[in-house]
Amino acid sequence: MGEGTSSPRPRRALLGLAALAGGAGSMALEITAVRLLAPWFGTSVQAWTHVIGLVLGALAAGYLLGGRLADRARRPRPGLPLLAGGILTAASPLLLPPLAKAFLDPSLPLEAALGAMAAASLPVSALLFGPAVFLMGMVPPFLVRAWAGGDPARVGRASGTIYALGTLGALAGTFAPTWWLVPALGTKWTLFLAGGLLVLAGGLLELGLFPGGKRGKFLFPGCLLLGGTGFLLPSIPSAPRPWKARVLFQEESPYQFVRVLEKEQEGRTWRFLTLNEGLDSFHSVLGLGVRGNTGGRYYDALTLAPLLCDEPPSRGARVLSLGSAGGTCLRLLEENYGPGLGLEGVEIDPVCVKAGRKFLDLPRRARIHSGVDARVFTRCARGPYRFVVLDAYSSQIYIPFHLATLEFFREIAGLLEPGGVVAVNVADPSGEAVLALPLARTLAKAFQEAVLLAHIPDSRNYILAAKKGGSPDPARFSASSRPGALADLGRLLSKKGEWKLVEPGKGPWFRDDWCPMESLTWKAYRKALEEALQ
Amino acid sequence: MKTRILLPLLLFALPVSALGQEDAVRAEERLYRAVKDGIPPAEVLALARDAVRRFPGRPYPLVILGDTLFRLRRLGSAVEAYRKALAAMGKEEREGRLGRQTRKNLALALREKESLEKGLLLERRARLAGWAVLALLAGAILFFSLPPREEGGKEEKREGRAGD
Repeated sequence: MGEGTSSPRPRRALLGLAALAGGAGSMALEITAVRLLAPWFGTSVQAWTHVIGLVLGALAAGYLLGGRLADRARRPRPGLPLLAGGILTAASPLLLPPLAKAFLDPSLPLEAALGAMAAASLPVSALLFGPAVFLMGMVPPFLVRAWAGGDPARVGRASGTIYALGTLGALAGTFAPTWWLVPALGTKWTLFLAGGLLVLAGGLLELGLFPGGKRGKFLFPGCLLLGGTGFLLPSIPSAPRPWKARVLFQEESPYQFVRVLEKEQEGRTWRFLTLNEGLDSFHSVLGLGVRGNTGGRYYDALTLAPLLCDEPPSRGARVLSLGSAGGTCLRLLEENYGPGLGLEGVEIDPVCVKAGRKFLDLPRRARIHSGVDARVFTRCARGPYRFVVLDAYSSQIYIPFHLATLEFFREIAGLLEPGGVVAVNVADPSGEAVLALPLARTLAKAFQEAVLLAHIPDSRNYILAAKKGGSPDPARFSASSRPGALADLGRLLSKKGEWKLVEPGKGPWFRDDWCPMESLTWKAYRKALEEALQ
Repeated sequence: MKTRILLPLLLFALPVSALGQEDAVRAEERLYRAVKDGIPPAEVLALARDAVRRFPGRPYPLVILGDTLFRLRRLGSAVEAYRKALAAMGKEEREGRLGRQTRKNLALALREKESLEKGLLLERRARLAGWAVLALLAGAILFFSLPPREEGGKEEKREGRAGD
């Protein structure tokens, strides 16, 4: 018995709409999934890999089962998996917090939680998004069969049309969340909208293909579930509750989840700019009532680095902070070297700048090039600068690889005035400079001079400093005229044994086409963890 | 007889022990100065290890060893050193300032070590769950890609007929 006679003739417009919606929904889910996970698990390479891999795997399984069922079914019903997939997509933000809590403890320090975060993004994304994507994968084979209407001669054209429409939908699902939906609505409502679109397409398909008595059998509960999800969505937290801190500010930026937290530490109130999963890591800091230092945090060492210039910056000298975030380095430079400095900052995320201006005393006079990548800026900028500080990080722990290469450091050298200095903050808790040493060699090669490498006491960071036209003299660290914490740190850093001068050596040096930043950073953190437990 | 043997031994042992005591105090003073002057932790560590090796029963070098290891984030060894230091202290010392501070540091090091261990435990759990998910997915893909039993049967029948 032919299919065309046993089932109502499918309406092709509806089938096409379903293919478009399925493609758009699955891609919107994939793109938005990483953003939904980011405040809990970060946006590391592993998180991206797990989400993409999982989506591909679930789609493959869905295609296979869908194909099998489509062959067997007397009357194919592609609306049902679309409907169910839509509800699961919309509900995914509701399910994330309890799932994430099984694998995460927000009180853990970064090096302790890093491995768990990287590994947990796979099972969490599988449980959260796998079923929805699997259901969406089941749809195309049904659509192909319904479009072909049981005529084998039309299967080729039917599958071509369905896959083309699905891919066009996926194109829309890729662009819309990044450019319009997430900036306008946020992650949770983008997923809700994607789910709603799938439910709508599934519902229309059900109604269109089965105009008889079965109408509404699955639609009503589906719409009820979707409505319930929409009702609960505003009460769902976007991120884990911070550990012993108040939230002063939080916003989803085009790049990450930005927060300003306030904590009491050592009898003072401190504000921290945290990104995504945060944990004990921060990207800007301000002590209320504390001037000129950050209580021994790594920024204090970066503040001492201008002393290594032939002539430390003073009124009129231009200084540049690459990866300025909430402006801690710029504020400290102004507080320690006078208000007449020409302060400039480069920060790719405008929300960090906004948070810095509002809560972290980012100097008003500082000119911030916001929304610009540091590499793009250095290529276009006009020097000379007396001092450049590079403190740029992405995905919490990684220096963006294109900001750690020979080519980039040569561009920086071109921006410095003779006797000027560049200082680089390198998070490397290994204790053996697993990452900091090759980076220092690369910097030395770019400057053709020995580079200073010093561990910042009581931190997981190193400071690298290179001078244009000579090697930096660490004895100058102790030249700080300010009393207190900064002078003590300067004396400590200037002592032999706390620093070493690194020559370019024989390489290998990091280049634009070879820079294993992620693997070296990962190695440094794993080494730190292993040694801590010894 | 006993006196003849013991007396020279005692006379010989006393100054030696006094000298040993003096050396230990000197080594501890050197350690104290090193810490106070802020010499690099790696050097303090070497001095502390040397003092612990030479004067194993003295608590102060063990405390400094623990502090330095803690500073260098070798939490496991720091915990061990603090524990040995507390065990080497007399009752008075343990109740005194040094003992109180050592107990406080030990608690802090233990807490940090436990948090690292908890991180590893969570990681192991996540990895296990990840492998389970991958196995499930691979199993599903394999299972769905097997030809349905009835189709296989039909296929065999057709082949059989062709052969006939």
